[in-house]
Amino acid sequence: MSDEIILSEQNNGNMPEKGTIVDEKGLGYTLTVDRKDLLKAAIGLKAAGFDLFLFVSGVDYPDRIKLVYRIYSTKRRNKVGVIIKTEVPKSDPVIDSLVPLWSAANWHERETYDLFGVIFKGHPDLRRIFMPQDWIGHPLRKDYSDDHMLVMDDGIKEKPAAKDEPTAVHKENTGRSDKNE
Amino acid sequence: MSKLEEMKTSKEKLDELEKEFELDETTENNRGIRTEELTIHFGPQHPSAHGVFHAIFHVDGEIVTKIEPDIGYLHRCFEKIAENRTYAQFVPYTDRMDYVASMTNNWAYCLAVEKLADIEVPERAEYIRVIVGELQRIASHLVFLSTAGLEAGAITPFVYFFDDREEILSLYEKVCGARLTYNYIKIGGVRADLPDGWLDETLAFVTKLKEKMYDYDRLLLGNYIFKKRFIGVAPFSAEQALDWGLTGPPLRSTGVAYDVRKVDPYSVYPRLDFDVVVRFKGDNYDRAYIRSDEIKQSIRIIEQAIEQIPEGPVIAKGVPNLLTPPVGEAYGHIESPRGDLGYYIVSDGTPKPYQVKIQGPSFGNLQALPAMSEGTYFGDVILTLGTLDPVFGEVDR
Repeated sequence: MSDEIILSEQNNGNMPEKGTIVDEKGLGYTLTVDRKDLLKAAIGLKAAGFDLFLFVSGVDYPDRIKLVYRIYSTKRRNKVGVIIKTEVPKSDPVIDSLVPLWSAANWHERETYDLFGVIFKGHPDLRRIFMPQDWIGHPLRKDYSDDHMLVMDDGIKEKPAAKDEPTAVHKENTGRSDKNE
Repeated sequence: MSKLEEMKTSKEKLDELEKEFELDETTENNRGIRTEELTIHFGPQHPSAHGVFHAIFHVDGEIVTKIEPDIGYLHRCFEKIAENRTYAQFVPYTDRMDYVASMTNNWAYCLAVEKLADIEVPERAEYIRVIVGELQRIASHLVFLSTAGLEAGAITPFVYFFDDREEILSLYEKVCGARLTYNYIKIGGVRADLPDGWLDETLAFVTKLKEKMYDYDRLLLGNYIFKKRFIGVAPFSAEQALDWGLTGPPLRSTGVAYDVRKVDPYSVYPRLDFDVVVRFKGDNYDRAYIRSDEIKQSIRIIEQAIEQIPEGPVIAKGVPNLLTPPVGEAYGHIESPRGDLGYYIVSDGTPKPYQVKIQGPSFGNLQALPAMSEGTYFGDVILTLGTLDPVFGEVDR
C-alpha cells in the first residue's frame, strides 16, 4: 500500500503540510513531524481510524531526544501500523501529551519522562513510574551518571576523584579506615 | 482505697465510657453501622499479585472505589543493560523478562535484530520457532487457567494443568537443556536442531492434550462456582479496550481481532491455517475462556507445522558471533501469549545496540486495571488482575 492511499483516506485538513508517510526499511510506515505538529498529526491519524496506541519511547542523542510513537488502526480495512517520529531539543524537552486522545499513553509517557526526562505538556499525572520519586537524573540518557549515589565505607557521601588522579581518594580512604581500626 | 471502692470507681468510669460511645441518632439512621472509606495496601509481597505489584485500594465497604497502582519493584534496567552488551549477549536477558513465556521473548528480540541486520532465517528454523513458540503459548495459557481457578478457590484444576505444562517443560529440556530460561532461539535461527523423535513426542502430546481440553473446559470453565465468580464481572467494551491500549487476549475478548500473527505476519504463519479467537462481552469469563480456545488453535498450528517442516540447516550461514549491523533502526514484534511484544532497536554501527525499547504487553494491559475494576468487589479485583495475566518481569523490565 502506498502512502498516497493512507493520506487520501486521512482527514487531510488536520494533517501538517510537510507530513508524508514513507515506508522505511525495518520499521514499516513512518511519519516524521515537527514537535509542534505532533498533536495535529495525532488528531489527524486518529480521525483516519488509528485507534490503538502501542507505545512511545525515546532515543537519546547528544543534543536532542528522538521520540518514537507507534499507533495502529483496527478500523481501517487495510490493517496497518504507523510509527510517528519527532524530536525535542535537550535544552527544552517539552512536547504535547497524547493522553487526551488515547488513555493508553498515560503510563508510556510517564515511563519516557522517568527514563529520558521528556516533559509531556498536558499529562494529568506526570510522575516517575519505575524509579523512586526522589531519584536524581534520567537513567536512559547517555550522559546519566549515578556518582552522587556513591557512599564511602564510613557512610559519608563523597564525590569520586577525577580520572587523572585516582590515587588521592584511595590514599585518603585507606588512611581513614586505619584510624577506625 | 479499698478494693470495693476501686471496683465502684471503675464501674463509674465504665458507665462514662459507655455513654461516650453511645450511638447517636445519625448513626442509628445508618442502620447502626459507622462507615468510612478505607485505604488498603495490596502488596508488594502478596500471593495473589502475580509478582511484586503494589496498589493502594480505596474501599467503601466491599466496593473498591479507587485503585492507585504503583509499579517498579522489579525494575532491573534491561534497556540500559542492553546498551552495554553485544547483540548476541542480550538474548539471555530477554528470558528474564516474561519468565512464563521466555521462548517468545527470545523470538521477538531475534526478529528485530534480524530485521536490523537483514538476516534470512532458514525455513526449518522458522518452523522450529513456530512449534516451540506455540508450545510456549499453550504452557503459558495453562498457567493462566490454573491460577485463575486457584484465585477463585478451585485447587484441583491447578494440578491437572501443571501436569500438562510439565510435559511441555520436559520437551523443552530435551531441546535446549533448560526448563524456564531457554535461550534457545538465537539470531539467525535456533541454537541446535531437534533431537531424534522429538517431533513424534510433540505430536503425541498435542493429540493427547486436544482430547483432554474437552474435559478441562468442563472441569474449570463449566464449573458452576467459577461461572458465578467470573461471568459479568468487570466488563470492558471494545472502545474502552482500544482507548486503554490493551493487546492480546484481553483485547480480543472485547471483539477486536488484533493478532500480530494475522495483521503483521511474520515467520511462516501465512502458510498455516488457524483462526483468531474473538469473544464479545469482555468480562472476566471471556478473558479466561479465550485462553482455552487459543490453546486449541495452537494445537492446530503445531499439527500443521509438524506436517510441513522441511529438512535443512537451522542457523543462517555467515552470522558472526560478534554481529555488527549497519546504522539504522528496526522494529520487530510478535504475538506473545500476553499480547503484542515488540522490540525497537537503534544501531549506530557498533557491536552494541545504541538504544533498545522493549514494548511489553503486560505493561500496557496492567494500566487498564483501575478503569476495569473500580466499582467492583474487592475480591473480584484479584480475579480481574488475574485475567489480565501480567508478568511483572515484563511490566517493570
